[in-house]
Amino acid sequence: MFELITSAVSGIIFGVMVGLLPGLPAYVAPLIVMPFAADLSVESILIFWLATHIGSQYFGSVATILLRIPGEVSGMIYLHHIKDFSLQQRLDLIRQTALGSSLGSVIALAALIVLYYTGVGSWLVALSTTESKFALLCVLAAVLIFSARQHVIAFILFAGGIALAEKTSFDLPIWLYATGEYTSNVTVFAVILGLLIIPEFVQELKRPSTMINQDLQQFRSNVLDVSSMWRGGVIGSVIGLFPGPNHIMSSVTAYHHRREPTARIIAAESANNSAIISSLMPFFFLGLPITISEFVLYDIMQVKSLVMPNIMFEPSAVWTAITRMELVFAMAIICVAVYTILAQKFLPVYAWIVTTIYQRLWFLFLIILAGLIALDIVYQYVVIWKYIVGLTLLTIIGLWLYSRKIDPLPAVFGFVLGDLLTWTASQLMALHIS
Amino acid sequence: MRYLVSLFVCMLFAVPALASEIKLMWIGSPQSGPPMVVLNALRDNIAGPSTVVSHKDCREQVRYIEREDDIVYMVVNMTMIQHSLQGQQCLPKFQPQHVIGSFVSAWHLCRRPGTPDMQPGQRWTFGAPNGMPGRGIVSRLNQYNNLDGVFVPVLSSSQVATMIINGDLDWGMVNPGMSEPLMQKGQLECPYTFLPQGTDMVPADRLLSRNFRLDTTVDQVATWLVIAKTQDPAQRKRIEDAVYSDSFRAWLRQYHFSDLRLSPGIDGAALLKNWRSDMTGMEQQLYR
Repeated sequence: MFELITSAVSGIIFGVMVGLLPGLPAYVAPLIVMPFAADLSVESILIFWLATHIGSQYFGSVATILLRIPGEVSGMIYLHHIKDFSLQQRLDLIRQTALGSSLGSVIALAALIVLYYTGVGSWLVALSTTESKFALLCVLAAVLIFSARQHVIAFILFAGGIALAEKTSFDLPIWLYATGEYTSNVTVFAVILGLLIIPEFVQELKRPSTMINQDLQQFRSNVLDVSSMWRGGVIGSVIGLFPGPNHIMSSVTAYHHRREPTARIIAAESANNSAIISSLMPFFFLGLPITISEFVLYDIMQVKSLVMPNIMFEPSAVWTAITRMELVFAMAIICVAVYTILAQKFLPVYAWIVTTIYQRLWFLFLIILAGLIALDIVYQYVVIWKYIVGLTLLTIIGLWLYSRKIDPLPAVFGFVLGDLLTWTASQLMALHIS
Repeated sequence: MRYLVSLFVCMLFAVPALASEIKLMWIGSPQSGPPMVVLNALRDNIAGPSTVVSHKDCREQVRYIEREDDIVYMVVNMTMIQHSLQGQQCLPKFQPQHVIGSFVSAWHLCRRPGTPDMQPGQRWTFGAPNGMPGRGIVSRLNQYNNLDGVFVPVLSSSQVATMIINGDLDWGMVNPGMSEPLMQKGQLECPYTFLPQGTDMVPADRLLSRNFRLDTTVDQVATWLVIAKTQDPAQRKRIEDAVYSDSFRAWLRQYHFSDLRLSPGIDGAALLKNWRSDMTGMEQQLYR
């Protein structure tokens, strides 16, 4: 029991940290457990993984909204709106996105529980066909391109991002496989940093800050936008069932489903968090990992000689009256409750962080950035000088795009989704054209 | 103050002592999936400090090995062939005496229950995990058995299994660790295997090359070489103890790796010679 509680508490702490720190991809947290996997019980591993898996998405939005540094990739879609919000509005956004995330998670969790107890989870695999995956990626690309002001430039940026993305398929033609080699030492975070964060920060320095003198005591909660939360939750619950970076896809889809900036952000975050929960269904019911984080857990289970999904339906070693799946449900409910409280109760702390950073803008921002870059280099195993050269080039491009008022978002998404797109396209061609 | 200086000096000397930990690497990309699982299983058997080192870029992996000492690394023939075909030189320079063992892994050939057998004149799809010679195998099946298979590239065994279950693929190569639990659940049926010794669920008489004409002189298995680079006999002993340990070998057998060439006193030169000739044969017959 002590081991289980320790796993739960440390999972929650790591989940919050990984969510808040942009340099760390969400799958880093479950990697932490890898060296201890042989000594930990399967229940402890599941609980730690689940807490970090949910927490990293939950708290990614806090960093994005407060500091405009995305804690995870899906927050990029609304990054450009944040500079227009006052501190009070940002704090209210954190409150609303936390509640939206909780509502979205509850929707997905309810679906998960219903599927478990009715025993109809096995039909989910039908959603993982190559055609549905490709269609979803095409919709995502179309939304990014046609929502931009200059469609042709957005298309070129998206294609450029795909071209420079790391390619893992050995079946690609050499010229296409080789395009990824130029950026093998450039991480996703470096791309976000160079194209989005640093250019925004440079512009921020030129503007007089509007936030320093705002009185925190004036903070009032706005009316909850339940409609956006609900819609985002439903969109995320459905898209979360598709393989790949479904939390990004659900975030983008929900964002474009609403018109007003606040509603868009709330919908995007609600969708993101519900997708994280619903993506558990194919993994837990069928033993088929569909996200990177799930791949990591799958590997850990293999190290322990355990077979997914069989182990999920066996009695839990802690309380034999319930199965491991029911233990997971209980932990997911606890995580959602704890994260909701953490995200809301510490609003004054978040406010203090923002005001402190704005008062010592240069100094603190540079320290945070340097720390994040260091973490990125350590965790992504890159060659430092190549990483720095890449980051410098990206920053120059980012500043140029900013000066021309061109949104670099399509390039970032192209870079993130490039490998998945090339895989899916080559499979579709082999299945239907060969 | 003097205490702090002493502490600092002690720490400076402690760093080289800590640096004697054994580094483990898998050469190739991507740095994820089964190779990293094997690496971690080996690490569990190393006594004393050890760490898994990873680099995204295979040229950096090679440079790291050339630069550092006290390393144990693994190379797989199929991955090396693929990197070589993509114009990347990922094989570090090493001597036969550095080779301390070898083992092989292979796949079952699976379908969804109810999928008909491969018949002449009927189009069927065949998926194989990234890096495997799936295209060459389909090509030989078609050429020598008058079949009409189509090769579909897939990232991993788990994705091959998903694509078979959801109906995207008719047939696919899935590693036994993944396929046999799904066979038990009735979601997959694996009538053939590439594993020469077979398994309890798919015995050796179901070897694909015994049931279909393939006309290759090489086995369609992935051969792993375990290579140690260290100047320190004590460190080499630590590595050998882990690689030859009963628990690591039992772990390999559990996942249907063949550990026949993984024991003390193994002839590294002979292993390397076989590995190189297999690689050349496989590259010419199944990858070109």
